[in-house]
Amino acid sequence: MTERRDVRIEVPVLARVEGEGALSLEVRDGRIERLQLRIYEPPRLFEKFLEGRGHEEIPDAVARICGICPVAYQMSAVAALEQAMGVGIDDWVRRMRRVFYCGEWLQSHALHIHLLAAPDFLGYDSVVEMAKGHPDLVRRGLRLQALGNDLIALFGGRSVHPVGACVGGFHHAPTVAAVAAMRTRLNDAQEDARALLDWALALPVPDSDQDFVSVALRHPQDYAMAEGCIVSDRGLDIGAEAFEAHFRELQVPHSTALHALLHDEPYMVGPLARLNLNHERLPEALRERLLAAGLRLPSRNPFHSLIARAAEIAFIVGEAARLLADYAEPPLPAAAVTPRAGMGFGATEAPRGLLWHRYEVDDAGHVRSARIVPPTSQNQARIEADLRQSLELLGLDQPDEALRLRGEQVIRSYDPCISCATHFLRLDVRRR
Amino acid sequence: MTRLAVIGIGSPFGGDRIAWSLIERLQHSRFASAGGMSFEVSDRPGPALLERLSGAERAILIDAVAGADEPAAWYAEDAFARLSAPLSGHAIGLAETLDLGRALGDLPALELLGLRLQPDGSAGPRACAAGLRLLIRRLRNLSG
Repeated sequence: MTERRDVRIEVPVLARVEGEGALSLEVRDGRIERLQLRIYEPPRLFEKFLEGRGHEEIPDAVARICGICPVAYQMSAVAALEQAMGVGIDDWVRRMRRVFYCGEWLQSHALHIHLLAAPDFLGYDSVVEMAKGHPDLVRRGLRLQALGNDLIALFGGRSVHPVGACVGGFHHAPTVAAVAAMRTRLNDAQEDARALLDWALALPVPDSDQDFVSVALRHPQDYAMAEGCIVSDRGLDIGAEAFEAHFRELQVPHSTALHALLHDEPYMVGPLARLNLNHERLPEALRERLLAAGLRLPSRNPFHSLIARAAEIAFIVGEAARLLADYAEPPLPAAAVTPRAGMGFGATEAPRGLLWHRYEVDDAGHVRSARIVPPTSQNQARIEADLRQSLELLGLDQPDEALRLRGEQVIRSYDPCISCATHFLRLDVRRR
Repeated sequence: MTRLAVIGIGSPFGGDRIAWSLIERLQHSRFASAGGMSFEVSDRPGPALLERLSGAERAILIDAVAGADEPAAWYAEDAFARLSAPLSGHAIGLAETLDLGRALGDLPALELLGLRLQPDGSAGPRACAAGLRLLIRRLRNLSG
């Protein structure tokens, strides 16, 4: 008979995640009595910073929200502002934004797989320890991450908080020579990307069979990145403007980031949700590679998020090269903007999942109000649900250290970006 | 192969830009045109620093430091990492990056130059001038 014991585990600072959070777990009589992913970073109030600022400032301002996914913030913001002010973009801008986004997925996914997640699966405390036993794996990850950074810098001027994006397009178009050099590097990187996917598919991951809702963008033809409808595997299919009618954010006492629910249920956003909903949009060879390895999609194992990231890297290295194949500098890298009052909505796929923005602007193009819903706050309730199921599956009678490690592994598999999530503070004032 | 890579680290804004200023002064100097030396800046590169260091026989890293005694000084690695860069959110700051490079066996010989920030975070003029003097003296020695 399994011993039933009380367990109390506190992980006061989660390692290898972006930002600062904690995990609290209390088990009594063999049941989880309390489980909380606690996010205690102070709220950053970014939406309020944006009020009153002109549309020209917004892409650079929102890029400051996150050092890992600045492109995502820029792309959701410009999409919303373009809708608000009736700005149309041409095919060159649409394609190059997708390339720009490929750079961000590549650097973020490569960072997460190699420096944050892989040590969990290979039994190391850190990437430094892992590098001694698996130097070629780490070097490959660093090469892919550097390529992603340079792809961001090609359009953004720099990889950290890039400054190249604007409403209507880009401030500057890369030269044909710079793009040709990048295309060569992308083609050369395809072998690294293929080898990474093979490694990920062979990696033993814990079994898990969970019934969760996947939410992501879906595009009629493409693997969705910066365009598409918001869909779920339970039949949701809406435009970005309908987000607030279906998704509800709520405050919980243990987090400075809001939790989000879809029709009052937790849901998953991010690479695995995207792959679950969009795997038919991947190139055939890549789909066959996943199938041949025995990956059944949609997957109900959240630990397959690492494979999803590796599959997306394999996809985007080829996708960026394809989109740059016939590159030519455009007459103008951005559409003209004539400010007008309006409301706009933008939803794009950040590396960690759906990132939704809403802006109301006045007739001078200044922001009157803003709302941002980042992927990590959307995943919070799902992470807590996953933790419950994963820890119960592991066995609550396991040693504390094993429970702690599995808990951290679950959280890290979502790659939470806690600093992004703490945007919001609801202040209730009661006056008597 | 670049014999010597000189890399200024930091944000392009505010006092943290001080290493950028130093590099910009040297990018058009006789050291840069002599060959064998590269001068570049890097905006808080994290592990991407290792890519920048790859291929160099020797590297000089320059960064702003807080709480230093001297306006500019050469530092041992542990003191430099402690004073120069706060941990990134992923806990992969300069110290961890250099540890990673060492674990991979990919680090060139390193020399670390710190430029002192004022208590308010601004860059003092003395730090830049003192850093430039130290760096030029070292480059002269290295170029024989």
